[in-house]
Amino acid sequence: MSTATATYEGLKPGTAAKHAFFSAVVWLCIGTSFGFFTSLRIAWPDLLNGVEVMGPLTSAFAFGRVRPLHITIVIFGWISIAFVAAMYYMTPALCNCRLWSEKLGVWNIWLWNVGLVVGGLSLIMGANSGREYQELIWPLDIYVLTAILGLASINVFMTVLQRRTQGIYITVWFFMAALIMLFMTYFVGAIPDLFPVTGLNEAYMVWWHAHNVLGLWITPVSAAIAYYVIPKITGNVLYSHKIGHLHFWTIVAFYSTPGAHHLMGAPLPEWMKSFASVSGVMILIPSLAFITNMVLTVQGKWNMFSSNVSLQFALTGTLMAVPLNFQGAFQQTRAINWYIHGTHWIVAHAHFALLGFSTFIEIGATYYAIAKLFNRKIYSQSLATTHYWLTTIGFVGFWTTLTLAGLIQASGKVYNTTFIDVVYATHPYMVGRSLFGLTIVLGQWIFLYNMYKTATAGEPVTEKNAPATVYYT
Amino acid sequence: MGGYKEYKIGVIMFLVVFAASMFMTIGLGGVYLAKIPATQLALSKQVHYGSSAWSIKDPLMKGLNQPMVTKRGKSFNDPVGVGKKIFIREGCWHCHTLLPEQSMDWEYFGAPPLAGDFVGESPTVIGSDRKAPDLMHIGSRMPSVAWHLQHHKDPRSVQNKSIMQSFDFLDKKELKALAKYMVSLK
Ligand code: HEC
Ligand code: HEM
Repeated sequence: MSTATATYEGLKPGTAAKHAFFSAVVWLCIGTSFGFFTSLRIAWPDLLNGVEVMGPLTSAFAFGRVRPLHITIVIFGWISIAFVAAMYYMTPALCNCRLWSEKLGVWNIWLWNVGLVVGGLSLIMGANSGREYQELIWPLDIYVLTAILGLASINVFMTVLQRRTQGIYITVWFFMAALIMLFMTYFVGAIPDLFPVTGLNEAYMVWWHAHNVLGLWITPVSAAIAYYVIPKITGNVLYSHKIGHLHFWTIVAFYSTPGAHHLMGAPLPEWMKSFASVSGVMILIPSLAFITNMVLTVQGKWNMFSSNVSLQFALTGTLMAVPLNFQGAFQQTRAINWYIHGTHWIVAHAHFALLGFSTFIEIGATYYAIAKLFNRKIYSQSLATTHYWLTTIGFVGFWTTLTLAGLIQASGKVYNTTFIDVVYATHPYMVGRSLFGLTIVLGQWIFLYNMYKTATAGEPVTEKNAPATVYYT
Repeated sequence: MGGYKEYKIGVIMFLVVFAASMFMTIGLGGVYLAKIPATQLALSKQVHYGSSAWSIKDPLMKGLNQPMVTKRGKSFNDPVGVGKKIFIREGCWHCHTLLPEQSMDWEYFGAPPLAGDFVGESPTVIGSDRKAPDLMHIGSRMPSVAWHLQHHKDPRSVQNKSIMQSFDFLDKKELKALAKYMVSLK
């Protein structure tokens, strides 16, 4: 089986992916728990202040320090590690070979975990770059670019180079392209940290980065994972490779261009805002291409939606992309943006993208891959269904309360209401968000437990190459 | 790998398309923005803030490397710059913006800034999330240092519906610097 360049050093195929999936799920639990904690601080600001036992921790758990921690952990811990886990699992499978180096993969994941622990500690100790979504300080930026992204990219690219298939499947194009694009994006975001770039130019780079961590990394890789998981589980072939091409090239060409739509209220030149706004609406092309392709792939197999948790999660995530992208495309036009900018509406939208769309698809992939990697059935089907409903109900409630709160804030702007009255009026919604958030958090801890039990005590599947459906009975 | 598809055209096209897209946005936009001249306000901010970004010389962001000022023969870090650094460190900008918007904020939060007002400032922490009042002109609305000191220590003592947490864990010097920074934002 082995090829000349491969290095295995006593590690079984799939070891790196196993380490990666488990790290990702652990970070998911930690990250959402911190999100819950920050939400409490918005509803009850002085929670824990003045409590004797807290001591020096009072400053570490201040709202302004834990919020970046939540964002960094869910984006760079959960979502990104889950992506690389999927790459370590799916790339060899699609290229009909082994991962180039399992050892490098395991090292990569542990360097990543160490980086996140150091990064998390630095954030709560107050070392903050002051640039949203890019809050790690520059020594850590360099670490992210080399030890984290660099190593992961080498492994994925070398695996593709030693493939034993003729063509390259769409999932793998996206993996490779997204690794390059994320590297560039992260680098642009780090430029103001590393070089003397100031003023609006800096703000623009920071928001270009923030936009493209989503546009050139999270969106395409989530889609790539769906392109693998959904055909694999349903047993249908991908509906159309041509639509896949359309999706891929439109993402590369103009998903990155609307960076300035985050700065619609800032004194940027008009042409930049108009350009961003128009190219932002074009984002509908790749997203609709993707959704169409996926929904048509499931043709004739919709009954599996209720019997297969992976598919349930992956398809729910995919369908969420419909309202998500319409919301995104229109809220960044100037006609609407001035109304909802800076309100809780935006926070609701951010969770729509990262929780509703991306996280759902990755959870689907995680159920699928962990069962396959350990060759065991999912430990508890009912816990998995519980996880699905806790996450879904939690998310829908979370999104609804925040969107309503956002509309209250927005109308406060229009009617010139005293600011503090608006703060007060949104308080019940903040409490509601915490409750729904707690629902989500509970779901994720159940998920971790279920995955751990699957790996250690799930019923073994004996036939090699058993169809995916066997893992769910 | 003989006989395999090499995807040469695809790879070249990818690099060309992606580079073109980055050139149009980061390239053209960046060159334009870099040419904006500094206003008087930007120059005065440069004098007071220096570099407010994280640096190895000040790992815990206490404002140790801000510009120096001299008063009664003693030199110390400019409190306005120190205050800005604490503003960044404590994530005040996750609730407050520093950017009245061009569309509607005139009446409440004052005039929006000019593009040149930010030249030389880094990070700008203009913020994106407004759970709390814009602070760009707070020094004109609330010119009293004593009010800010009291408010930062215990926001609910001056505004009982506030959701701002109390920053009583900051030491006296830091609170003072923060208040001076607020007051400097005219
Ligand atoms: C959880 C969100 C939150 C954080 C974090 C926060 N604030 Fe506030 N802040 C508010 C709210 C809400 C108000 C309005 C009610 C009030 O006056 O307390 C406010 C009001 C203010 C005001 C008075 C504004 C006015 O127009 O009356 C100042 C000044 C201020 N904050 C400074 C700061 C500073 C400095 C920090 C960081 C150390 C900070 N805030 C962190 C939420 C926050
Ligand atoms: C995997 C799931 C999640 C992801 C990917 C995620 C991602 C994010 C992102 C990107 C932001 C920044 C939003 C912005 O700047 O507009 C954010 C903010 C926040 N999130 Fe999450 N989140 C997740 C789950 C949760 C959960 C379960 C809670 C629990 C209540 C939560 C609570 C919060 C809070 C309180 C904020 C700050 C909002 C504010 O400052 O107004 N998040 N999250």
